Formats: sequence, structure tokens, C-alpha cells
Amino acid sequence: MNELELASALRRRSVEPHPAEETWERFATGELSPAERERLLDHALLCGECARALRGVLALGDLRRPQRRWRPLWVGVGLAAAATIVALVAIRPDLGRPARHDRQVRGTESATVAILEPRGSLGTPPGFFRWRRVPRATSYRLRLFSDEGVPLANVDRIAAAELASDKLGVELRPGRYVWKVEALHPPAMLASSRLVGFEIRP
Amino acid sequence: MDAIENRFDELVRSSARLVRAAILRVGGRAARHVEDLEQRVYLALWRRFQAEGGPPQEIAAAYVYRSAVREAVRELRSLPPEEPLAEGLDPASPAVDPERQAAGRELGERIAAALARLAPDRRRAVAAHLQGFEVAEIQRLFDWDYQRARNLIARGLQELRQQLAPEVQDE
Repeated sequence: MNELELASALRRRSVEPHPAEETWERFATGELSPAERERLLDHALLCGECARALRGVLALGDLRRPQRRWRPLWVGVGLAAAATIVALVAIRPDLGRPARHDRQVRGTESATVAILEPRGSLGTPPGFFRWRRVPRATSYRLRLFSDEGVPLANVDRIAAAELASDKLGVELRPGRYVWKVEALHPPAMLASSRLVGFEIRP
Repeated sequence: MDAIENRFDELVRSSARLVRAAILRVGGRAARHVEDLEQRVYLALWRRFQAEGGPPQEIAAAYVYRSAVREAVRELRSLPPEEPLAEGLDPASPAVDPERQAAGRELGERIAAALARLAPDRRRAVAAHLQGFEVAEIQRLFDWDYQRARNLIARGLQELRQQLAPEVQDE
């Protein structure tokens, strides 16, 4: 039996119960006790699903624990300052918040698409989804989710500032939904709406 | 409601870089779906804002960070393993003989049982190696130096093969 066969079989092994999501979050933020950490690792290394998650979370270790290498003094000072900032961000993510004057992200969140309808509580399924036009936008993308966050529709290349519900490709039954619109000037996204909820009453 | 929505918008704006960085770092292959993951993080936040009026300001960014980690972990756990399984052993393949599917699952259990008989450090090193961790990652996980990690992997693999040898010969 070669190593590939051993690895393949082990990676497809799934062991329940898996660690709770909260345990992963605490692992990522370095909050687990040594015993909890050991239990998590011992499970994850014998469970293919959790091993994939572990590798992902381990990548955050680069943030928490910068590699030390020799550098000329001035480079070292700069790296130390940068490492301190990075470490602080990892420990206190709120410190990573950009200053108020620098809150535009990738030039994409500088404007908001104003949602017109649907929103709130509705007696019947909406006929249209409408929003305010965004200058320079050449198309829009509409994303619709269930209230549980399950993606239901992702319609691209909408030329107008509205979309008929029957173009969504999903039947809107009574229930709660969340949607948003992104204004595009491909390949750039110019603006995005806030997430807006609406409910179709039974 | 407007106050809540404004707080939510503010949180999304102020956290966008952090969310994306966390997803990209944690997500690995899942980061290919980074936009979907971002949406899921924001939806989770939005639901919390709707239900509770949002987390207290002082923990808001930490909550966003944890949400990003949670969604990336969920996505990673749902992905199939990267490598194709040795022929005939993939339990998910409809074309595979059920007996061989069972054999694939059973092999995984036998490997786990054999690993359990190794000394703890060897077990961890070999299991991590077989799960696809690089030596540098194994070093970081257990705070070992390079030589120790390599030795534990090499000796552990050798011992694992010995443990499995009689069973394999029976096949």
C-alpha cells in the first residue's frame, strides 16, 4: 500500500461529532486552552473534513506569528513595527478598522445603491425588484437569499434599474427573503446596496 | 430601524477589509468563492442585527472576524478532498462497486486504528502529513523544529506501514 492510498483513505474519513463552530472560532483567535486545543487537533488530524478546516485556520497563524529572519537594522525596525500592527489586528480585530477618512474599500463601497422595492411586509409576491439608477453603472447584479442565508438567485447583466420577479428563476413563496443589488461597470463594481429584507405573508 | 441599518452599514464598511482578508487566509480553495462567503458573513450579521439590534460596539469587529472564520470553515468542510482517491475506493462515485466503496471506508478506519497505536507525536506528525499538511505547517501546529518534524513523519510512516502490513497482505 503506497502513501497516496493511505492519504486518500484518511482524507475521506469523517468522524462525528465534529468540533463545534465556536471551537474553531476560538482556535482561530487563540482562545482555546492547551487541553481543548489538543482535543481539536487530535480530532481534526483523523477527520478529512476537519483537517481541511484546520489547514485553513492555520493560515491565520501567519498573522499571529510573523516569521523572524535576520535583516539590516532599519529593515528590522520597520518589520517589527509592521508585525506589531499585524499582531494587534489578529488579537484585537477592531484595531484593523480603517480610519474614518479611509473607509472606501477597493473603490467599490463608496456609493450605495438605494433600494426602492420590495421591502417590508407584503401581502402578495412582488412583481418587480426596483432600485435607483447609479451613474456610470452599465449593468446590475441582483442577489436574493432566503432568510437563513441560502442563495436563491444571482442574476447578472441587468441593464435597467429593475428586474421582473419572473426573471429570478425562483418561485417567491410566502416567507422571508433578503436581497441586494450591485452596480457594475465591468470589471469594476461601482456600488452595492445594503441587504434589504422583505416578507411575503401567507 | 434606520439606526440599526446605519450601524450595520457602518460595520460592513469598516470591516470589509478584515472580512476579505480573513476569508482569503482561512479559505484556501474555498476563497475562490470569496464573494459568496462575504455575502454569507454579512447575512449572518444582518440577521443578528435584526434580532438583537447588533452586537455591542466594542465587540462588533471581533464578531465580524469570527463570522468570517466560521463561514470559511463551513465552506472548507463542505468541499471534497483535493486528490482523486485511489481507483475504486471513492465512496462518492456512483460507478464504483459497493464492495470497494465499503473497502475504502474500512481502510480509513484501519489506518486510524493503526495511527492510534503510534506514540502521540508520531501519530500527529504522520496524520498531519497524510492529511496534506506541509512540514512548515506541521512545525507551526506543534512548535517543532524542522528536523524533529521530518524525523517524526519518516519514522511514523515506517511504523504505520509495519502496523498495516499484516492486514494488507491478507487482502
